[in-house]
Amino acid sequence: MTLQVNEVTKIRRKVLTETARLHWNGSLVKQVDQLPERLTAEHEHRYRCCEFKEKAIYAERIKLAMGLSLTPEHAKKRLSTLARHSLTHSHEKNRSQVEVIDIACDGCPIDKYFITNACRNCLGHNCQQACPRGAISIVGNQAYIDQSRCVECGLCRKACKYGAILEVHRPCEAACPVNAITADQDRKAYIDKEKCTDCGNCMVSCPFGAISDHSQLLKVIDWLKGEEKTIAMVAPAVIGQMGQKEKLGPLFQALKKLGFDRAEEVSFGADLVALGESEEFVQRVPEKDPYLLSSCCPAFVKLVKAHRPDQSEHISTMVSPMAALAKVMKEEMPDSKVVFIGPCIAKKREAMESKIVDGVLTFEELAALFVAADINLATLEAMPEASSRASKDGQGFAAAGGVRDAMAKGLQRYGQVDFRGGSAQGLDECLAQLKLLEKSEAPFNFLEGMACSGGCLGGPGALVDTRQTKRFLELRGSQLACQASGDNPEALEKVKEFGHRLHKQSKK
Amino acid sequence: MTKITVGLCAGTSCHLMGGMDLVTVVEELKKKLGDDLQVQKHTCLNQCRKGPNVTLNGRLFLGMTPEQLKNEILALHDLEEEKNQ
Repeated sequence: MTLQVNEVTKIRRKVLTETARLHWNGSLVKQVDQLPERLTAEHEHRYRCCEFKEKAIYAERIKLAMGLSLTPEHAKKRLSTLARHSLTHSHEKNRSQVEVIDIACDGCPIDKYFITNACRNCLGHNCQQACPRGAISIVGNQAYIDQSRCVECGLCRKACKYGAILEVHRPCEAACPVNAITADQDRKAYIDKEKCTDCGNCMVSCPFGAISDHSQLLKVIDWLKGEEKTIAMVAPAVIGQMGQKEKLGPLFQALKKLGFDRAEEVSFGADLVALGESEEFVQRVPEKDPYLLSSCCPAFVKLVKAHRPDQSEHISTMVSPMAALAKVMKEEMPDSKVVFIGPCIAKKREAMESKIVDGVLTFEELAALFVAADINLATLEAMPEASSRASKDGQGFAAAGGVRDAMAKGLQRYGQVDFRGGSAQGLDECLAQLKLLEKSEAPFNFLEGMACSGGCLGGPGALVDTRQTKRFLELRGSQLACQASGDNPEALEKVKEFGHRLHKQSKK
Repeated sequence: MTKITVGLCAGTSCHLMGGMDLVTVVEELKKKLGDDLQVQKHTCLNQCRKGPNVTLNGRLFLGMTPEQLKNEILALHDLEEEKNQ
């Protein structure tokens, strides 16, 4: 999918920026009640029936930007009351990261087939004959579908010579590969949090911007402004995201300016994972286990656990690159607050569950924070970039196929190993490959599963299209001093030092 | 020789509001117009709340969309061509 900044995206980013700006300037509680009005006034276009609805939707978006759930209880309170609450309380842990803004949801039609005015009421009545359920009758000079009988087979649409029958999709439902999002009684979208993998597909696909995630901007701003030591950990997919081509120098400078005490690349954590996971592969496959599944994408891990539970024992016990680096950071700088910055929404859940990563921001949220704090990367003087702790392989985790390739290279240290790597991008493809593995029909014995098309580069929190960022990723990779995880002396040392601590404890 | 100078803002605010989409459009037009289209980079045009912002032959345009920018550049190009004839 080509990433293009549409009106929906602009509105979301504007809300994030302005909410962050208020808190950055210390005036959130005082001024947030006026924010919906201000945003409505600033935005010339009207999308909704009236100004009041527009303001009400802005208020809901602001709540999500403040990290709050849209519960009935929160619906009754003023934004300023909620802001005060949000600043002093931690949020409920067990929740889906993505939420539907009910009043913004247009309640798109549920009926899949619909006969348009192009129906000529012909003599043939092919639609009627094609329908296996007798659901089509002729009413008032036009064919009519009795929706209670319709089984959505689509034969009528194929049969109509005029193309008069329309197939309608709800974009959110069509985007969800695990059917976690359905229409409730009043046709509004509803997300089943047990099924939801937090991949963010529905959020990106809703043309009304009615689905959004919770932001952690407020708590990160608190840490940055407070006494806490803070560490920013940027995902490998950051290359090219901030409009600085392949360079990371300006970004690191901007992070320091924002108040982070340190900024680190998660690519280094990926090096640790590449090394640890290849060691695990040698120990497990094929004697103890017919195959291994990658564990770095939290949406893929949830997909396996929730939808293919029988296969979850095959997931690698390695922690994700984010958690691996966080462990190293917490040892190098105890008592610090570790903030992961990436393209991913599912990482917010992973961080909450792992308890080792304190906060997560998307690239979008980080850019909004820069704007809120009046930091412009384009005006920052280019400083020589410190040499990276990571290798090209570690950085390669950002793109689909990167984990597989890093594994293949990492396994060269073990001599002859029967490694056949596969990779799947997008949850649909992941599910298909998992099924092949279960039936022992897959041509591979290691599967890299990525929920997003293109890998992390294509994540819902990304700012720049994959086609461009992929180019910059490769360019920077070729410039790195260290090319393979196995040639990264610091990574080798840390893997030895941390050993089993880089693996998840099995819950038995 | 017709010359159009387009100045794209590379500031973080414009970037957040879709500045990269404008870069893509200009890159595509550059293939067609060649030297007729000169591309500049601004670091900030001081209208951050209205971005993404662009200058066209020195004139400031706020809240540009890719389609709009394409049309403006092509219209300007046609105008210049006519003048030259």
